[in-house]
Amino acid sequence: MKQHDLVVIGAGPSGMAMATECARSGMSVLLLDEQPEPGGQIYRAVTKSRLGNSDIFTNDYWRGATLASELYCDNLTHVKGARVWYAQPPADVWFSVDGRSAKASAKNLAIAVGARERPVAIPGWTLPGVFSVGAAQVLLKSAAVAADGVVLAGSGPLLYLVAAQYVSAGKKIKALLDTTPSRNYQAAVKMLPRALIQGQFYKGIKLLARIRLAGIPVHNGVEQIQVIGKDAVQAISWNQKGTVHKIECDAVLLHEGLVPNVEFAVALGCDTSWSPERFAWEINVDESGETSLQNVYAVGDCARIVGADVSEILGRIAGLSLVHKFKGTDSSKRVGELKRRLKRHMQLRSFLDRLYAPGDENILRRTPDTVVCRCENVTVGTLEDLIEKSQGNLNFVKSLTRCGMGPCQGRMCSHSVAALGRTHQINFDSTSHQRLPLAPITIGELAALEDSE
Amino acid sequence: MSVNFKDVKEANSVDRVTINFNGVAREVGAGMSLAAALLREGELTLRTHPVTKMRRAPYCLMGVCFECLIEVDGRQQRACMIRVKDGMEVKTL
Repeated sequence: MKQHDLVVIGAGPSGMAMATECARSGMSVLLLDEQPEPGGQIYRAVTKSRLGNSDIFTNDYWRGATLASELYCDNLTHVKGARVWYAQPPADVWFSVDGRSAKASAKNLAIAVGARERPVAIPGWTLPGVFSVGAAQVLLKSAAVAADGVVLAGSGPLLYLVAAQYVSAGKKIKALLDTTPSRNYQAAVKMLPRALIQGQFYKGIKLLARIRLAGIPVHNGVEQIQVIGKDAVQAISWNQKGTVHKIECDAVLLHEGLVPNVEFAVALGCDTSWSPERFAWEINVDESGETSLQNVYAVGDCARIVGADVSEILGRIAGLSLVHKFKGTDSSKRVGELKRRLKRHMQLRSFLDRLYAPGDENILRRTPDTVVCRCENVTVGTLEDLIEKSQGNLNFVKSLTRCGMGPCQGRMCSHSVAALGRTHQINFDSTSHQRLPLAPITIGELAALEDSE
Repeated sequence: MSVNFKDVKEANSVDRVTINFNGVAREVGAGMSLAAALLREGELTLRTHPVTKMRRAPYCLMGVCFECLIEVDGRQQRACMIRVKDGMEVKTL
């Protein structure tokens, strides 16, 4: 079995950047990724898109192909379709490809497993025809399909980005319901001057203008969204300035921002903390991206939501820091330049974090029948009764209600439980225990385990 | 009427593969996830929820939610995490 210098899990912007930096400096790198093509969710299918160079996506997407092409370099092995299901610190990992398992060992590990969308626990969100906004974008990027007559609802940059992409694809949008609380605008306006110096800020303004010009009905200050239907989505209702509105539709796309995929790091034993500002658990890392465990790094959105550009920068900084530690190469000039870029980008990020801070009632409707845990069908009503007794321990909630015990292992409900806790002045400082294996695996895959790369 | 995901007009054509879907041979688009290929054919719900007995459909399409769980070649898998392949035996749950 070959010993690598670094194993990277996840081929999104941060993982690709870190893997490339280290490989180019002569370190042997193994890059493991679940998808058949590199890019992560943000550059999903960028090397194999059915959309050629379509203007549905801007250069912000197509530039991912450049990052992906840089993976073809000496010292770097990219294993596609690799599902990592077990790991031991610092850098022993077990993974499976096409039903066959293998173990890899390295001196350093980088976790670059990205983000997912925050669950939006509202009445009716389990009905067929309700998707996350990210899901619609995955379908567009990876299969070039889209639906007519959808309603987009929620808050955050991705909501508007996908709306604009649907417009470019010639798809009709019935309505865009914006749940961003009005208090957010007042809070964010103070940070506006610093955000204004960023080019990306104007891209956002252009995006909003495009949606308005396309004549999509945009409703602001939306509250109390409810999806209505018997066997599938039939309508959506909401409250705006005290009036209830309702329109018929067959698909609803929900989005209330992104949260880091911290579970892998938690299972390994890395320290995490709860961010009340960003309403998510985050992995504690130092300036170079190293976690509380020596030689274990966490880069990009899985540590804290920062977006694709910053993720790439953080991947490069972590890569160069590791090269310096490993080989003694001086890269302080490049690191300095990257840190200056990072600082500029983060001024816009702070503005976005503040503007799109999720509203409590938007991410969890406190009606008794609202489903919190989709896997085990645990409702708000069941959780209300015992949330105070939990003393901020998610494992307690899980043991008593099965909330978070289903196949998704709490990924679709833990943030909603935290939201419910907040309304009771209960803080959940850590996620529930994360048990290995981290992905479903058959006995056959275990039995066929062989030592290899 | 349930939601209909169709090719956008700029999409390049796709190859077709034949899968066995609930005992019936069915041509679907190749080069995409099984979940995307089925949504493209108008198949929305892929499983019955074990607790509520209600039909469920894909939600996240990135491997998180497990709502697209389906039986493929005798094994339960997430339809969004596997590529559709010629000859696949697919059964909704």
